[in-house]
Amino acid sequence: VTLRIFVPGDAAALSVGSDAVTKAIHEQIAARRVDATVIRNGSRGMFWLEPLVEVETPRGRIAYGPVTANEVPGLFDAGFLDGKPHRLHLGVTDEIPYLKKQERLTFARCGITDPLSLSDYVSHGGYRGLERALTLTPQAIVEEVTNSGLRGRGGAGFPTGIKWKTVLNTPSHQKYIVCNADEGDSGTYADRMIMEGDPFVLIEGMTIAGFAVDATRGYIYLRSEYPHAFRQLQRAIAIAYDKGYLGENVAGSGKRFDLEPRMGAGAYICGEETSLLESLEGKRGQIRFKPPLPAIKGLFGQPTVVNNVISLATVPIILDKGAQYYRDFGMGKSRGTLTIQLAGNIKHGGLVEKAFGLTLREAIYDFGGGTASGRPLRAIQAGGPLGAYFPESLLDTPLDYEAFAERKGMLGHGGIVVFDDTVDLAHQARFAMEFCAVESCGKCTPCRVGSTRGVEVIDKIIANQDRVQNLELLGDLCEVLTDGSLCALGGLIPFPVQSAIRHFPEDFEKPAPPPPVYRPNKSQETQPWR
Amino acid sequence: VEDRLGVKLGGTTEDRSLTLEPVYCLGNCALSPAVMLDGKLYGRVSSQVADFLIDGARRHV
Repeated sequence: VTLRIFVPGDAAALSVGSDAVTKAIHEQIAARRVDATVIRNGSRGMFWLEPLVEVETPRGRIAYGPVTANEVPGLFDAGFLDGKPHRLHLGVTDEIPYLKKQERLTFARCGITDPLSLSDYVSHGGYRGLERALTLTPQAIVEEVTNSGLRGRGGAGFPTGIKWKTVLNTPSHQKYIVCNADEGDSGTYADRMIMEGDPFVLIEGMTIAGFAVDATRGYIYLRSEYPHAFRQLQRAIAIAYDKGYLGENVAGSGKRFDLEPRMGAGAYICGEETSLLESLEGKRGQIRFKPPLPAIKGLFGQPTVVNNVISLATVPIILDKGAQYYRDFGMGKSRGTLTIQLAGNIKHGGLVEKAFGLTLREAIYDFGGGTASGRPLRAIQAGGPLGAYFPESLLDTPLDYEAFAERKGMLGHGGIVVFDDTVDLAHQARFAMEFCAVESCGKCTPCRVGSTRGVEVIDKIIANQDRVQNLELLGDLCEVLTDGSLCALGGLIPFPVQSAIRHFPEDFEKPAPPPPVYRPNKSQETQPWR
Repeated sequence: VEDRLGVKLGGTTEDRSLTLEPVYCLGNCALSPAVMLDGKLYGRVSSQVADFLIDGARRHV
């Protein structure tokens, strides 16, 4: 039997030299005349171990990492093809606690299969959801998704089934399914990982969505920073067409579904659904007034489902295993699993899929291993650039939409960025306002003008100019942004700003800082990247 | 990188060979600092790796 070696072809693994590792493995295979093949799988999501190389043995898949190209001959010498010990040996992959403790539903196949092998996909449970959907009426599919409790994973947390029902009940000659793959939130990469590591699950989810609401066309709106994911989606879509899973007769059902990926142009605001639709129509990415909702008048004025990648990629398992199976995971009104992405100053950054209800502390310490710097944790930001900063004292907050809202925070897309005690929250608050000023689409005055005024006011506070009055002014300004902005960018930017002031007032009370002095960072860790 | 290229963020080197652009997010947060060079992504970029990338890019001009 041909031995199978796995080296991730995920953009993150590639960014630390997994192509060079693959080349070195091929050289060793040829030189030693062994019968082995290399599969470019997705990432398992344990990024501190990338490139993570696995070899299939009778005991299961054995992992080694992080592997560099120049370690490869030594690995072969040590007998890595038989899973033998080596400095980089990590044991059976599925037994690594970081993975073993997870509940992978959406990411069940990611890192395990060959992302571009349809037969791998099908033999690991793929297209069973579609198969079941084809036996149901559109109403029954929508009901199944509604009953599962699935809420939009892009950040807003709106019930997916309700959105679909509106589209289903709006008559039109042409409806659309639009996948929001403009993953712009800081600290997030789950969309990219699933698109690169298991693209067929997104294609299947969008196809099911199409059949549920009677839409025959789908678009994946992908951010321009993801060229690798774009190529991977193009390849996967071509394979699905070739094998009859897309096109005029999907899986022999007689039903049509066409799908195309589209590349964005690099604007954060295009992750907001109405700007995304404008951009997809070929216009400048600017917010639309709501109502009408995109579900009623969306792409080209037609009823449109706009869902995040993870929401759509979760639909196949819901249809396959049933609504009840999915809703049995989670807590309160947050059902199913959350794909947590650990980033920032954290030892074990990576993707953790787990039922809602895990606390921030468990995510950061039990999975993430604490700060990478080893210094005390001081703040975390969850939910991207519009999410609140939480202090250490709020780490026992469960990962749950409502629990976060109660504490004036936001779970968003599940990204958690960790900061140690060297962070200056006044600087972070300024950054939030500056980000809003740079990324504002300019349509509404509170966001367009308010964000620039916000930067100026925070600068005055930092410089200790009429601090008390300016803090009050900033509070007023935040209120105007919250109440008067057209979309979530201006509407939510007060979250990081006000949470910084509320939880870290000492950072806004310091004497005016001296001008910055440039100091090269000598302590920075140097990692061989190929 | 600014020091090495002698330009600020957003600037282009005098020989017009390299432009340094700020980017908000490359979707590689778990392996930051990250750099994208001509569409190719690099993670765990230390100043030595950055030097290596700049040298490589200059050779291809």
